[in-house]
Amino acid sequence: MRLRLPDGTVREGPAIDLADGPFDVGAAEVVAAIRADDGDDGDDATGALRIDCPQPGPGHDRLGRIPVSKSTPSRGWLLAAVGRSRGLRSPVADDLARLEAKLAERRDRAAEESEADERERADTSAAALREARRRVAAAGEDESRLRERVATLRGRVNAHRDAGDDEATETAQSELVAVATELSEVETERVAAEQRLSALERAARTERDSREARLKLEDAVKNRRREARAYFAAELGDEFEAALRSLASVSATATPSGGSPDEPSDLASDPVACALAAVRLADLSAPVVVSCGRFSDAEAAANWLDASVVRCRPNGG
Amino acid sequence: MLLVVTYSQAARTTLRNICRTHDEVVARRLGRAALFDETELAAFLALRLREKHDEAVQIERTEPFNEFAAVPDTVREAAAAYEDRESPATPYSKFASGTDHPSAAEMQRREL
Repeated sequence: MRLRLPDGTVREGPAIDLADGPFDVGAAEVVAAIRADDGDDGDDATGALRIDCPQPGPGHDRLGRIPVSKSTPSRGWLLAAVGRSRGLRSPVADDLARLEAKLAERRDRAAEESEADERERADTSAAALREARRRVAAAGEDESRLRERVATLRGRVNAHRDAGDDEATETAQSELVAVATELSEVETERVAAEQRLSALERAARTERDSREARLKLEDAVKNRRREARAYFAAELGDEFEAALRSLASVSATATPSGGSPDEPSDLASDPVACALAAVRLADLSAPVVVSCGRFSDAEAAANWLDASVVRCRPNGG
Repeated sequence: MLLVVTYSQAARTTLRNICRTHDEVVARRLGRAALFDETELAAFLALRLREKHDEAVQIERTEPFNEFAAVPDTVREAAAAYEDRESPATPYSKFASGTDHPSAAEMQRREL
């Protein structure tokens, strides 16, 4: 690998140490430079970190940097990346690829649809449905109130008629007509509100259908990934344990004084140690960025990891 | 809709088969239960399920829930206000005391 610092200084070799300065280059910057496309755009202008190295292959996305992107990476997560770097395929790989493609397609389609006909589609938000339910309830209440009133007025008309009071009959009659007209209007309103609500409910149901289908698909993807992780953990578990044991002895010699040497069992719960063990197992052609304190220098790290290494200070450092 | 709940492994399997072969009546599948549309065919299938598995099958008829028609304003408002509370750790009893919101016990006593 060939690394050019912002001031134009060039370092070469499989192990480059930036940790002891003089340059303040953070791990994130180095990772970005490793992953940057080696195009012509990165011309020879000074001011930018540039690294000539093999293209990062499978697994480098997770293992290209220590500590890794997850604060507590699981053994399966690490070993799946190791498996990919070695070109291993889990028995569920085809299935997983198919399901992931389906899920991606569904996402694209959903995004397209929501963009395309935002206006045409029924608003199936909880607020819209709530408003529709409120209208149905309000119209229903009005309707029963008016219906009662019609019944009362009808009784009054009959009573006045039986009593032979023509004038009162007529007054009550005209009131009855007015209220009956209002009733029929409210009825129409209620029916319209109900129709609107049921249309919205149908739309909401369709939406739930697709939500359910998506959840199922996501579950299936998660299950396949879990199976893949379990497969790699089983395939590579012994090698991983051996790497941890080897790391324990390396650390023991690296820290002659001070704390007690690490037990392999302690290392298994140390995220950095696990990531280092995974990198040792992995087949990475691109350099690994190491910003942890376990090795005395970049060369020691490169030797143990069996990978080219850029050692630098923790990010921003 | 018809809510069909199963309480045995065998009934569950039959329900699953029904859902597979009569997609058109199933509004929603929920593990060992299902919601059927309200058609005669759905009722027929639910009844067959019960004939076959007896007490391991429960059939209920559901109606759409309209909170504006079925629920008093006070209850609706209490629910909205509580979900909008400032401190998530406040229990409802503490939240409701000293306000107009009904207590859980009061609501427990009153039927819809």
